[in-house]
Amino acid sequence: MARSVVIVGLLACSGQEPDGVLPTEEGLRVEDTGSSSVILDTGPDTGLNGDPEHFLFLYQTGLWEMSPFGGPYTHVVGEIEAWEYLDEERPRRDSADTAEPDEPGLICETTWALVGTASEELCPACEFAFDIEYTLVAGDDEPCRDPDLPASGDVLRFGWNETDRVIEHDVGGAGLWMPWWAATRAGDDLAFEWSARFGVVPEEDE
Amino acid sequence: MILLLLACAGPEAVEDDPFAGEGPDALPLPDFSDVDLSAAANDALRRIVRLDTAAGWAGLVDSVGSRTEGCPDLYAGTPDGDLDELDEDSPGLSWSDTCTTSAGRSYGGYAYWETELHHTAGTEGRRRIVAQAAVSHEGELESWLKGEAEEAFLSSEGHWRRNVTVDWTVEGVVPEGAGLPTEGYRAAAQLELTGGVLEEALTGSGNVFLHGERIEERFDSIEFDLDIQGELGAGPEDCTAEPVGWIGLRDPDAHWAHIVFLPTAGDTGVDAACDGCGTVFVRGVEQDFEACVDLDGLFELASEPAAKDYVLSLRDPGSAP
Repeated sequence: MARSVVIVGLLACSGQEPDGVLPTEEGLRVEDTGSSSVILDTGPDTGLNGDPEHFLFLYQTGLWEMSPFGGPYTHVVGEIEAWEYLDEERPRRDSADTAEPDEPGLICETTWALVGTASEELCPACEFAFDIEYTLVAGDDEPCRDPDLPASGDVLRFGWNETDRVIEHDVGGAGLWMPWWAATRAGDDLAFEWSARFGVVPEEDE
Repeated sequence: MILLLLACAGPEAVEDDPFAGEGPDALPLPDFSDVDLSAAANDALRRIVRLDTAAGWAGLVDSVGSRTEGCPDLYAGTPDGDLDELDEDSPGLSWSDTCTTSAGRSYGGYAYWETELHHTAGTEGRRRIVAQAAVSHEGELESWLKGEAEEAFLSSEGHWRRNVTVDWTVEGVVPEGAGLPTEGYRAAAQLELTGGVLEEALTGSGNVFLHGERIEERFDSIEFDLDIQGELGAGPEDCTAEPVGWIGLRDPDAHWAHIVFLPTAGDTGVDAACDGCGTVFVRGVEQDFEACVDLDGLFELASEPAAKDYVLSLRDPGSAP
């Protein structure tokens, strides 16, 4: 004897899905989402290729001092300073001076002390590597937007690739090494800096 | 007066009921006699176990890797403060633009992503995508992502677990190259998949609409609510020959066939056989035949998550000081 069953979810997907998506060569169409719209660019100049309304400028500069003298190195100490500016580039300075109070656009200024020991895990092309603890010693990292900025107390692994003159980072400590800073080596010291620019949506209180 | 008369008319008034003797028509059932429902269920199961974010992620990675300066524009965090899915302080990265590179690659919309990767005793990773993004090149759709997806994994010494939540549409030649069904799909599903050396198991529910492919040349959609215990890690009471739950298959006329696998033990009052076979229902009506699945090799289709697929950085080391 036939018997009916009720199956949860049957109705949720019971009809032919409406025509949608499928940008085609004849003309790109946009799926009706009912929430927002996106215009797909099919030519070099639609008049919609605008720039972000706001930009975030990121700067980092740092120094490793390695020991013992001449190597092989077992320890490193150092410092990183990081700045973030909204819609303003960092004023040129001869050195990594502290930003002036109320400097236009400055939203984040931090200083990190670095203490590390030699790592047994090396990047394939690296001469040496360290597990380095970051400690925030000045500034507030709360307003910083750089997604790669560590939290105070994090221990991160970095290695020195002499051939490419780059410090590599073992992302997540999972053996996935990525170029992180271009650096200059002078004896037992490594100096490095980095800058980048991204679009950004400012938080309301910025 | 007329109302009063009608109210007092008594039973004989029923004989004048214009609807008397008419009932609902019998539910017309589709003819699935030419379809191998067992083969269709096996095909569906193998699509379910491979349902993850890898193909969409491949499209995103390709879109980021093909960018040029200013096309598309890159953002720290959300590209748009009005997106419901993203907070203003979202910690990830994104691109958003309507532009064409000098190489002729067109970007439209936005794509936001977050990644995490940690290694201690084991390795943990997470990736999240929120997108409404199309990338095309010389008239060919390279990738189309619309919706949201998140995937997390934990792996340790050959044992791993993956949690997937998708509510998105994925199309394009790049995702297809990474395992997406031809012409893509729309999927809304949650899965927890365990694999490796200790246990094989899958728990999940959701639905998948195939844009181009047809299962057994008939079905364009799958819906499911399943628990599957593989041989590895199974207890003495576990049935490893069939799932617990159900699989639904829909044809283009929106007719559904469901295969229901009842529990083989427990407190449900039902004690079905552990024979790989489930009862077939067509449009909700039980049929007098079954469909059977073969779970051999099912979990071998699910690959261990790779740490490298949980990192997508825009870090450019730049030039030395």
